[in-house]
Amino acid sequence: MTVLSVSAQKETKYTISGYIKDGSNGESLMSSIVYVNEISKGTTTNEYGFYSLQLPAGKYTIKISYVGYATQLLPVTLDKDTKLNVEMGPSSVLSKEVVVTAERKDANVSSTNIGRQEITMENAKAIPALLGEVDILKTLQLLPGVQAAGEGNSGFYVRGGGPDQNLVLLDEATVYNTGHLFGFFSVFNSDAIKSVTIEKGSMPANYGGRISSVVDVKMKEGNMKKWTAEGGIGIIASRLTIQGPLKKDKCSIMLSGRRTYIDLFTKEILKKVQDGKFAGNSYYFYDINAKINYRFSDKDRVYISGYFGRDVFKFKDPDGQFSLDFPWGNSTVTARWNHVFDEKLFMNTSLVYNDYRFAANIKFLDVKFDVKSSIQQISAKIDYDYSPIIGHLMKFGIHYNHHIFTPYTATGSDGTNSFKNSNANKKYAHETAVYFLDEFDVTKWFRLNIGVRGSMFNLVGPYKKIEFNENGSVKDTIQFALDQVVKTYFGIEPRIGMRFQVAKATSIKAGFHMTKQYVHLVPVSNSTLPTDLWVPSSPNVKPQTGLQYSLGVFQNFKDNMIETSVELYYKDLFNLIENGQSAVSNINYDVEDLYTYGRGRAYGSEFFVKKAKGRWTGWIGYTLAWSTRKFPGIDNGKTFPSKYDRRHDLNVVLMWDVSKHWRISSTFVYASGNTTTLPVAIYYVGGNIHYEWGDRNSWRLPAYHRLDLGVSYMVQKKKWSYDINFSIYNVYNRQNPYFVYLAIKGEPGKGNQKAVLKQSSLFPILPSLTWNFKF
Amino acid sequence: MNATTKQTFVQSYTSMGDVLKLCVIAIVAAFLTTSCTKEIQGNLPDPELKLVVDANIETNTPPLVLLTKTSKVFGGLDLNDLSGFFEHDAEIWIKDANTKDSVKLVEFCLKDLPFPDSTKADLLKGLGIIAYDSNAVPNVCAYTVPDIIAYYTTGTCAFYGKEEHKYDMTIKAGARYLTASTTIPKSLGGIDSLSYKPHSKPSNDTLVTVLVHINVPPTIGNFSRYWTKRNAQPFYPPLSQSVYDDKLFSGQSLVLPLERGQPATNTQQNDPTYGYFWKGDTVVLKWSNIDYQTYDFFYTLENDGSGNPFANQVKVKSNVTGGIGVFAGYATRYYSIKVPK
Repeated sequence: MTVLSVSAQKETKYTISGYIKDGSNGESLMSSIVYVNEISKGTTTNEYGFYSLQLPAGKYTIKISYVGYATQLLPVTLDKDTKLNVEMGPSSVLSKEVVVTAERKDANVSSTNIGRQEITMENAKAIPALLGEVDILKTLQLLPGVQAAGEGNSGFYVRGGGPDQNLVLLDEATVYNTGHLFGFFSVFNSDAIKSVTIEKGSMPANYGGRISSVVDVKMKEGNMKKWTAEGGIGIIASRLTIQGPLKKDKCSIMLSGRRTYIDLFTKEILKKVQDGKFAGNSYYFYDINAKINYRFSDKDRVYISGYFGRDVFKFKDPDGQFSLDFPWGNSTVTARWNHVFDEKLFMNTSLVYNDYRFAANIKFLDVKFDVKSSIQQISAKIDYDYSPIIGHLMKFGIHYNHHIFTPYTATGSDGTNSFKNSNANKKYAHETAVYFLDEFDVTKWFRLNIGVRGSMFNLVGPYKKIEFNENGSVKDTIQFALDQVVKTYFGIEPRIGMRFQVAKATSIKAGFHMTKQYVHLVPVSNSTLPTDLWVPSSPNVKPQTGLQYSLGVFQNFKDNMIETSVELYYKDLFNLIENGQSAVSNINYDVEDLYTYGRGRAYGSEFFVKKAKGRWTGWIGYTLAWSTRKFPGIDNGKTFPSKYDRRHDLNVVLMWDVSKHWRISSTFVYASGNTTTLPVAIYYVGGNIHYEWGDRNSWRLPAYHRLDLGVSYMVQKKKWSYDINFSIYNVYNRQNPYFVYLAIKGEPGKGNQKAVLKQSSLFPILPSLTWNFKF
Repeated sequence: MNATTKQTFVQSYTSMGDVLKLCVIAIVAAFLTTSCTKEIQGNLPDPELKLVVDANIETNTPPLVLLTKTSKVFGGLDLNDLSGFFEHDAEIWIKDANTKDSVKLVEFCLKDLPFPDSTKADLLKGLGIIAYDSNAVPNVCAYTVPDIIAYYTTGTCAFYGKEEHKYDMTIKAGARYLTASTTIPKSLGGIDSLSYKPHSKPSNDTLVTVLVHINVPPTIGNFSRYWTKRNAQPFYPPLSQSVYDDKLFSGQSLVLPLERGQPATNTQQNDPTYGYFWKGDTVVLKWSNIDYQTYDFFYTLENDGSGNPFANQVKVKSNVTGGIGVFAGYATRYYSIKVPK
């Protein structure tokens, strides 16, 4: 009878949950490992540092570990639902309860995320930077599969996809243009950033809207313990970040700013040079990040964060006849509420506003033109993390975005006529998605992350479209009233990631995802410019679709001191958009009239070796890849290399901690040249020489390679610290090509005219000195 | 920044994309003053060489065809010898699709004409070609009606352009066969008058802006091209943009400044007189209605992105099958104004 009653008795389960934070400042620690030794299972904290584990009643040792922090072993007796919040200390703190590690043991091997990588701010700051400006996006571009668009180009390419195919989030707000001054510097001030993660392989279902990757950038929350200040003075810009508690352990604030200042110095000089002919010329950019967070209780926390950045270019010609004022930039505001329903269910609700704008205010004698363009997005998201049983981590939620696209509004006058074309071709859209995913252990060695995302896109009125016949006369005028649905698109996007742990430090991962993209950026030229336009899907412009298959082997050596991986991927891309071969951009007409549509393919292999511990650290990443396109309207449907085709991409990053005061770092990059289209023939019409363009992207620029070196001297005082960083960008002064063009040299009628191919380069050898401080 | 851009701003509301590109170029130009430019060697792919047609037929005027060929960029024809580009001994027929009349064109080359070099140089200017050395006038050849000499002396010939007529052209040159069609549309006119106003800067008091008063027809789907003539000079099209559509301004009355046309080889971006006329000039405006294909050719040609790394590389839209170029039909009217000194 007793045996029957025992077998019929259910095991009582309780939940242990809580937040993992940095003990020195209260910042939450995302992706901390929370592991239960007794059952060899665990979980990780979510992006807010929250975790939840359901276990049978009993005694356990909970191991908490996170990169750069001392692992903690905490004994727990579980006889009721238990809250366990942990504050982690730095790895220099030693005690008999703690085990020191410099890296998470085997995160790259054990997770199901294939193609996911995280940049630590420590690494980003150690790498030599262009003109001393630490840039997380440039650090990201040193990883295999992630490629720089090139000097002078904003954006980056991931696995053969375009810059618009990467969703870049800053505290959940979409950042449309990630570059200052054509991408020479990113918009992210590293002092304000806590973490940067890229998903380029099997994208989990809670992300969507772009078909190549997601770059999730989180701002710091603000020091909950004490007031601190940090910043730096460099050659091109200075920055300052102040953060601290408005109420200790309850409410904190962070304010961060960065500005270039070359214009402040040249302002006075230009007034005096040549009778002030050049006074009024200037260029500068600035970024402001701000965040406030309030912890009402263990169950409720509210964050409000914002970013505001601008590039401003002003030009006045020496004769005073012409002036140009050209500002552009992003703005974002995010409000979030974390709520813990019970130990198993965590919710985050966000309201976000973000926009990207540019304007050009031009004056020539009595002629004035003012042109504005913008893309705005208002979003609402509800996301849940649910851990019903140990080993299962479920996420589900609903996302909504309202888009407003304003391609161009323009006003102008010349003293005789005035011109206004406001609201021309303005478009409105709703984008909604629901998702569900579950990550769990199927067996001890096989872990699965399976999910699905359902998306819907509605283009709504007011909307007006004029369609033209082949002879240029009007065929039809289509009009829709406010909120009337113009076109609806649906998508079901399956996502699968799996990991087979074949040995303690070895795993094989595989993934598949289908993604839909409803907003698009179609650059007009070979460069990505701040004046490029984002456009929505419409009756003519179908959503882009991407299918990606990935397979990888991950192997660590020497107790995870050395991480290695080989990843293969294959992508099929549908409904891609390019400008037609005879497209001439015209701001008064609908840009989608210029488009042509087709398919693409990208495949490649990524090799990665990283040394994560010791005095010498760094990594080598090599990518061998192809990216092609096939459009019926381009080159008669012949397959051609995409703009993002980069056959070889090699990055070598080395950092050497010589002593506690000195560090030397270096970066070497090598990349096959970008593709471009060049003229292949010349001819005369109307007495003028004209070029006949060759096949799209049929020519390749010379290869790009560059070596950077940096030396840092670090001093740690009792209450403050500083470091002086000297770096050299492009040590051997390689003239890397920015663009190549054909020119006719010589004078007509002198008998000396000839065609020449010219290359323009941007950055020669550039030393810089930066002083960074922290209080 | 010069008058070219000013005229472009005001006339070309439709090409404000150029304005924005100009902004970007201005910024990058500031950076490029510190950048390096160098010549490099490169192997461009060998292109398929094509015949280039530059043909037109105008109301009350016989057809004229310049037949040239493309050349490889490197190792091809000598850019300093325009004569080398011409294709000779082609068989060209033009047929009036409305009346079924047709004419076989005859090739005339400058070297065979009984005119002094100075006259030949003036003839070339009308084609937009400058003879820099009057002792070495390039031997330009053109195909036209057999009675062209009679046309220049008496003003009449057997075959000439008529409004609302369609024309088909066939060209046989060696093994190549080309065809093209064009329509001379109805001449809509719409130019009410010309006027002028002084240059905005008092120091440039010899220069004036000529204004054209236009009543744009109410229907969308009409296209125009214009040229200007100063005194005894030939007609030249404006360099920035010579063709216009009416999508934005149909049914409206406008007063727009006229950009002075001039040969491309005289382009000087910092010339303060560019686009303006002078006091004392007799200005003639040649305003032609054209069909959509002709508009498309010149619009893409004038925006083909050549030399601009920030522009789309635009493939010029040709209405010639078997080759490239244009067969353009013009319904032309003339307007003039005498600017007092």
